[in-house]
Amino acid sequence: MSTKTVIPIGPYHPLQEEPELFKLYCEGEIVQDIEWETGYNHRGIEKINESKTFDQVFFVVERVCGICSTSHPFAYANAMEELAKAEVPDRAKYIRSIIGELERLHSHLLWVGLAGHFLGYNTVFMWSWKYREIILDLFEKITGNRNNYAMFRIGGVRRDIPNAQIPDIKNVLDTLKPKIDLLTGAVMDDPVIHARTKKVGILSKEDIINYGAVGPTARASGIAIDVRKDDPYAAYPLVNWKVITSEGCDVFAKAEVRLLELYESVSIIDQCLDKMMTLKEGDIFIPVKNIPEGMSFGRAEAPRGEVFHFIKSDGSNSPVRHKIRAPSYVNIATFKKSCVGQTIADATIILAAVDPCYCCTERMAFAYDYFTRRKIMNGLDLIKISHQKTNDLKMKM
Amino acid sequence: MVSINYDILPDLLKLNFNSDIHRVIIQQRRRLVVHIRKEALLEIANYFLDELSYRFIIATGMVCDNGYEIVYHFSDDTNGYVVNLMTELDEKKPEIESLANLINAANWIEREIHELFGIKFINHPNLTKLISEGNWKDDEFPYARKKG
Repeated sequence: MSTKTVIPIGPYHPLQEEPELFKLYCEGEIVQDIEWETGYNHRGIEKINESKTFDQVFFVVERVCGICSTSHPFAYANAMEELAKAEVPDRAKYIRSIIGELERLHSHLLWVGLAGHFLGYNTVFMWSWKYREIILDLFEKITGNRNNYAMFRIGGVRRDIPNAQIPDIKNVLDTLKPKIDLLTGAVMDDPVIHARTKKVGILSKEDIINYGAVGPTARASGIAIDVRKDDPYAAYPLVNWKVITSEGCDVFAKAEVRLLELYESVSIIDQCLDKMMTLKEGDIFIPVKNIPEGMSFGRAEAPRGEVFHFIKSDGSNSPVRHKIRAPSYVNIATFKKSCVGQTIADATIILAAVDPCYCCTERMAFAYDYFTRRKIMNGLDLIKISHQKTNDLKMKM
Repeated sequence: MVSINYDILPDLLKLNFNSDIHRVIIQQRRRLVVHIRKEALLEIANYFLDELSYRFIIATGMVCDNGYEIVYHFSDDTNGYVVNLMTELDEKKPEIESLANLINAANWIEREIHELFGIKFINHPNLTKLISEGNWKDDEFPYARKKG
């Protein structure tokens, strides 16, 4: 008689915007079905915002997610400025894009590290997290904070980047470029990584459309959607860059898209800094006195995909309704498609491929027998079997 | 992808759906709100998804003067337009046809709106709790309209 096993992954991931519990129903080592429970860390942020003033909402939405803590204020600011018909000064637009792209850099580097760790490449993990520190230090220099930067306000930004600081920032970016080359080379040229990630966790174009997936998850399946290009905001229409896509549809394609996006982000920041040199210092916001009655829809491209904010205002100083859609909300649902039929050893990397902020999972994931409820596997074991698979492949090659 | 001229979208919708469309409001640059009759939701959503190749972003449930409102947000990724289908539901019997069978992306959000507002989605494949399991009784809806 075959033994059916349920492997729960989750539920508590305090660092993730949407903690969830995945139950993998397995027969042998093949995942047959998957169920999930989410909302373990539901904080009612949408409801909280109804009791905050429009200015205070920034600080709440910044805490929706620890990693993309600028994407939510970005989308919210876009929505509010559309509603108030406020035109942000150019210097503020550049600063906003710089912060947004620095965030993409540190988020993608974090992902590359975790993906490396799940595959058993702890050197990649150490490298990319080490280089991520450079970005976090840069954040501290520019905003005063390593995370939750509090840079945005309605009508512009709170702090300027002085022109005198720009050459230093450019120097730091220059030192980062060879490191990205190193990481990209390590991932793209390694036959074992190819073997572990190619044709694994396939998401077809139809799946992406059906699940409404966004960001690198969609772009790795050949769907060139990027809010920065499709619905331009901030300084993105003022600089040259391209949307990175891949036709691979698998985990490798997602890694490829993220790694190549690192180069685009560095280039965007570089161009923004150059253009800022020609602008007057201090011209970073316009005062917005009143928020009129009405509805508004703001979007921004977070490292994981489109962030969507919907605001309804009745003309008072706080929102009547504030709806937030984070990218993981739609991306995580694709797991049902990408994971079924794959082995448990690949499950960790497939889930990690949509970048649902996975760092806490290993402490909480465990497997137990479906009938006896006896624990047979924990998160570390899951990672171990992933490492084992990589080692086996290395031996064969 | 079909690229359409947004100047003619209000007329196009009126032509295709006639009395199902109450009014079309151009809210801001690249943002439209289309007020529709709730019975026609499935047909109109299908038109946007299938014929115009829009992407379903999310739906928002809201409390309004006469009951509830649901806004379905769709994105045209070819030119950045967000088209919002808005429909009103009666306070006494808040129910509407589910979009989950049409597009998988609507599955979770309909469950969420159901458990928060108590709005029933007809023909939803699995209208169980998504985010508040164990927090409220099954007939208690935290964001529902206050009675009286």
